[in-house]
Amino acid sequence: MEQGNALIRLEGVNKIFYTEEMETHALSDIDLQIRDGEFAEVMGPSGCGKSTLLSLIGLLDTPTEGGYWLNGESVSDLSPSERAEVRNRHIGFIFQAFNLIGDLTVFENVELPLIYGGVDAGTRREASQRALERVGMSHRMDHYPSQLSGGQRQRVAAARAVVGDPLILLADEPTGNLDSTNGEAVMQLLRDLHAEGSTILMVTHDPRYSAYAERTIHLFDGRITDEEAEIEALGLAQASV
Amino acid sequence: MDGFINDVKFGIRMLIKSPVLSLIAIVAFALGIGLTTTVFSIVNGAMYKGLPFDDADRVVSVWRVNPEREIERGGVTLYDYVEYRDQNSSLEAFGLWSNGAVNLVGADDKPERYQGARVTANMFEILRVAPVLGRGFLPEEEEPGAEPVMIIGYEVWQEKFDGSPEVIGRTVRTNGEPRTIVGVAPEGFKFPIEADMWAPLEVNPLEHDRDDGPQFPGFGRLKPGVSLDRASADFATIGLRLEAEYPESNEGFSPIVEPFTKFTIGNELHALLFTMLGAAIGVLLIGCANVANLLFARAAVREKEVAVRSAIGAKRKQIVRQLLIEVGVLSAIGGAVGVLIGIAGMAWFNRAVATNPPPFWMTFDIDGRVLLFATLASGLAAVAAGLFPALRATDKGLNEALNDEGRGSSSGLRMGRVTSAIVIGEVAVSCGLLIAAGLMIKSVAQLRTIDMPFAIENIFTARLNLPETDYPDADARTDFYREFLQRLQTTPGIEAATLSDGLPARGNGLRTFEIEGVDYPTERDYPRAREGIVTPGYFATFQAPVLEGRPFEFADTGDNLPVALVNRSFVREYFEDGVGIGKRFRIHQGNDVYDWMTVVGVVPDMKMEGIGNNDQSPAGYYIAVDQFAEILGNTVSVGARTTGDPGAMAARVRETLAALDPNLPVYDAMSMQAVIDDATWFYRVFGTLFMTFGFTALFLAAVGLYGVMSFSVSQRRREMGIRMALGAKEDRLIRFAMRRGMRQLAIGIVIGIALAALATKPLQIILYEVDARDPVIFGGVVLALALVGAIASYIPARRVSRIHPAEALQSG
Repeated sequence: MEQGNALIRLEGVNKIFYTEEMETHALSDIDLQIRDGEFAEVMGPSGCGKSTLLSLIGLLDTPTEGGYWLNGESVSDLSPSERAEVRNRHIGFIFQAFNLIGDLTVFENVELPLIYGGVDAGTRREASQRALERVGMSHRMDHYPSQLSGGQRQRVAAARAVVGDPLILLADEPTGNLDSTNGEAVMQLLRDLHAEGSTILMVTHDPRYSAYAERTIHLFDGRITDEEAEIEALGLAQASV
Repeated sequence: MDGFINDVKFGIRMLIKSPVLSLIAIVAFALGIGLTTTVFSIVNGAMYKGLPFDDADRVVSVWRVNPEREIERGGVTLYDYVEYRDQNSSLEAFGLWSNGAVNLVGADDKPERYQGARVTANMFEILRVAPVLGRGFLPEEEEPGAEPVMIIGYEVWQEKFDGSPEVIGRTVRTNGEPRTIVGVAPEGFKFPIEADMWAPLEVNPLEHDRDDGPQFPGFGRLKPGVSLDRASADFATIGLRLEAEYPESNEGFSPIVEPFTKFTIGNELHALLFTMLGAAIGVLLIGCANVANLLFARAAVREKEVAVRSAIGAKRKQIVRQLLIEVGVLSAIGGAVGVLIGIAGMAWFNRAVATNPPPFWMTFDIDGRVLLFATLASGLAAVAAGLFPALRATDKGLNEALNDEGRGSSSGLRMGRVTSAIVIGEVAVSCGLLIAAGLMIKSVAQLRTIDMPFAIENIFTARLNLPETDYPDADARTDFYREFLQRLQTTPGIEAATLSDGLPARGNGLRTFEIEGVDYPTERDYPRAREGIVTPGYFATFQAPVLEGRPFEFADTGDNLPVALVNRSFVREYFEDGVGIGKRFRIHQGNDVYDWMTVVGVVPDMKMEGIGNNDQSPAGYYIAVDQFAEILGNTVSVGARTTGDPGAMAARVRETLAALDPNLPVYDAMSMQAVIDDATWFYRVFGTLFMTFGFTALFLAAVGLYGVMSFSVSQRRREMGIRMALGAKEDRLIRFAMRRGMRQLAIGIVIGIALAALATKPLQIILYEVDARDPVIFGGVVLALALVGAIASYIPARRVSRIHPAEALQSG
C-alpha cells in the first residue's frame, strides 16, 4: 500500500459551489488521512463543511480541486458508474435521517447493497442475517421501517452499512434524529463495530459523543482548524511515506 | 437475473402500495394498447397476413396500367397473356383469373348462388396448393371445346354434398350448363378473393381482335432468386416490345408486377388504415404521457429513495432499470387488458364487416404477430412513459437529494416544465383526435338522418342472374324480365315492383354520351354520367315522383322511339336552358354508338353516384330495359314495395321465380333499409373507431390535466400559504392556480388545430357529406376541450381554498 495503512488520503482538496452570482468555498485546502481501523470524528459548527467533506469522502460528490486516494487507489477521476461501484464495495453510509427505503422490509433494506453488487442470493441472505445479528435487529427482519423506532431504524441503517464489509463506515450525524437514550445506543453500536475492526469516520456537532472517537478533526469555514489533529494527520502522512 | 426478479417484486409492491396511481396508469396503458392492438389487428388482417400458401409472398399479380387513360390496374388481354407467359423469364408459372357468380343446381335440385372464379389450369401449381379430393385442372381443359369441368370449395363440398367422396365425377348444372366436378379445394381456399368454385378459363385469343376482347388479372409465382423489381423490369421490357409492335392495341399500356394482395387495398384505404393506426398510437401516446406525468410526480417524492440507492452503490443504469421495470409491470398489466380490449374489438369488427366479407386471406383476429405487436407496444409504452422520468429522477445531485427535506426543490421546477410540455402535447394530440371524432360523429349522424329521395320502408330487394346458356340473347332476357315483372306485380303482398341494373343509393355505373347539337372536339371530350337501366314501375316502386314529363311505360320497347328520363342534376349540368323534356342524347359503348334518345321525363336525384361519393356528380339518366337489354346483361336487381314486412317476402319472390324458372336462385334478398345499412357500413365502422379514439383521448387528456394540476397544487402548498398569509383571496388563488393549466390548454389546442388541419385529409373518404375541415366541428371541439380542460383544472385548483396558511407554511 503506497500510503502504508492510510485508508483515506485527501490532498489539497477544495470544493466550490457555483451559483449564477457567486461562488461558495465549502472546503479549502483539505489535507487529511484516515488510518485503517481508526474511529475519527469531524466536528464543527453548522455550515462549516462537515457534510460536504463526508460526501466527498463517500464519493457522493466530487472535489473541485485536489486528490483523493482510497486504500491507495486514486478515486478522484472516476466516472459516476465507477464511483457507484466503489461506494458499493468499500463504503458504508449511516445517515442522520436513516434513509431506509420505506417500501422494503428490514431484511431487504440490508440486502440491497449486495444486490447492486451482484452477490448471489444465498450469500446475500447469509450476510444480511449476520449484519442484522451484529446490530441486534435480526428479530425484526420482516418488519418495515415504519414499524420501527428511530433507534431501531438507525441500527438497521448500520447493518446495511456493514453488510458488504466495507473499508470504511461514514456516519453523518447518526444520532441527530434520536433521543439521548437511542443516541447512546447507536454510539455504543458504532463503538462495537469499531472494536470489531471497522474504520469509522463520523460527522457530528454533538460534543457528548466526542469521547467515542479516537481522533477529532475540527472544521471551521471549510478548513481543518485543529492544529494538533492536522499535525497528527500530516505527521502520519510523513511517517508513512 | 436475480436483480431483475427483485426489481419486478419491488415493482409489484409499488403497484399495490399506490393503487390509485397504478389503476390510472393501467387504464391509460390498457386503453392505448387496446385501441392500438385493435387497429393493428385490422391492418395486420388487411395488409400483412397475405395469402395462406407456401411461400405466398412470391405470388404476384400482373396488371396493365395506362396512366394517360387513368387505368391504374387494368386486366391482361388474352393476346398479351400469351406473350407474357411465353416470353417472361421471371415467373415459374403465369395464369389469369376472373371472378363471377355461379348459379349451382346440385343434388337437391335447388338453385343456389355462389361466388365462383374462372382460372387458368395452372392455378394450383402457381399457388402450390393441392386439392383435398380429386385433381386440379389439366392444361387441355382451358382449351376451347374442352369437356366442362369444375372444382368445388371444401365448404360447398361439406354443405351441398355432405362431404361425400362420390362427388368426384358428378355432373351438376352451373349457370345452366352441365359441369363435371373433378376436385375439391382445401378448407378455407377461396382464391382469388372469395370464390367457392372454380372453372377453367378458356384461353382463346383468336376469338377476338387484338384491341378487343376480355381482359383478366394475371397472377404468377416468382422464380427462386428473382426479385419483384427484376420481374417488373422483365415484364416492362416485354410491354415495350408489344407497344412498339402493336401500337393500335398496346399504346400507352405497360405491365406491372406487384405482390398479389396489393390490389385489394387502394391507396386511399391504405392511407386511411395508417391514419387510423396513427390515431390509435396517438391515444397510446396520450396514455404514456399521462403515466409519465404521474411518474414525474412520484419521482419528486422518491428523490430521496433514489439517492439512497445510489449512495449504497447502485449504478444509475441499475436504478433506471428498476424504475423502468416498475413501469413495465404496469404496462404489462395494461397490455394484457389491452389485448382483451383488442379481442373484443375484433369480435365487434368481424360482426360489423360480416355483411361485406373481405377477401379470404383477410382474417381479423389476435394472432402471433398481433400479440408480438401488443408486447412490443407495451414495452415501448413503458419506455416512453418511464424513461424520461427515470432519467430525471436519477440526475439530481446525490448530496442535494439526501439532504433535501422535500421543500419545493429545483427539480420540482424542472419537472414542472417537462410536465407542462407533456400536457401541451397531450392536449394537442387529443384535439386532433377529437376533431377527427367530431367529423365522424357528424358523418354518422348525417347517415342516420339522411333524407333519401326515395322510399326505404317496406321495400324488398334481391338479385338474380340469368345464365347465358338458358338466356343467350337480349330478346330471351327481355321476355323473361317482362314476364317475371308481371308475375311479381300480382304476387300477394306486393304493391309495386321493378327490375333494374341497380338499386338506388348503391351507385350506378358511368357511361359516355353525347348531347345532340353539342360540338365535341374529340372522343375524349364526351361527357360521362350515371346510367340506370330500369323497367316501368321503378319510380312508382321507390315512390320517387316524376317531376316533369312521364315515367317509362310498357310501350317503351325496342320497336318504338328510344326514350330516356334524366335527373335534376343532369338537366342542370347539361341543358343550359334548364329544360330537359324533348332534348336528345345518345350513348356510346366502346366503338358502338346507340340511337338518339328523347328525354321524356325528369326525376329527382336518387343517389345515383352512391353514398359518400361527395366529390362526384350526381347527374344521371335512366333508360328502359326493353330498349337496352343488351347493355343490361344477365344480372338484375329486384325492387318491390310490400304491404307488410319486406323480410317476409323472400320466400314468395322465390316461389314466383321458381314457377317461371326453377333453376334460378334469388340472392342478396334484403330490405331496402338493409341495403342502405350495407352501403354505409364503411362509414359506420370506421366512424365508430375514430369516435372511440376521440373520446378515449378526451378522457385521458382530462385525466392528465387533472393529475398535473393536482400535483402542481400540492407542490405549491407552501407558496399558496405565503400568498394567503399576505392576504390573497380564495378566488384569486384559484385563478392563479388555474392559470398555468389554462395556458397549457390554450397552447395545446392551437397546436392540435394545426395538426388536425393537416391530418384529417385522409379521412375524407370515410366522411359522408362532411368537409374534412368543417369549421363547426373545429370550433365545437375547441369549446368542448376548453370546457373539459377548465373543469379538470378547476377541481384541483379549488383545493387551494382548503390550505390552512399556518399549516402550509410549517409543512414547507
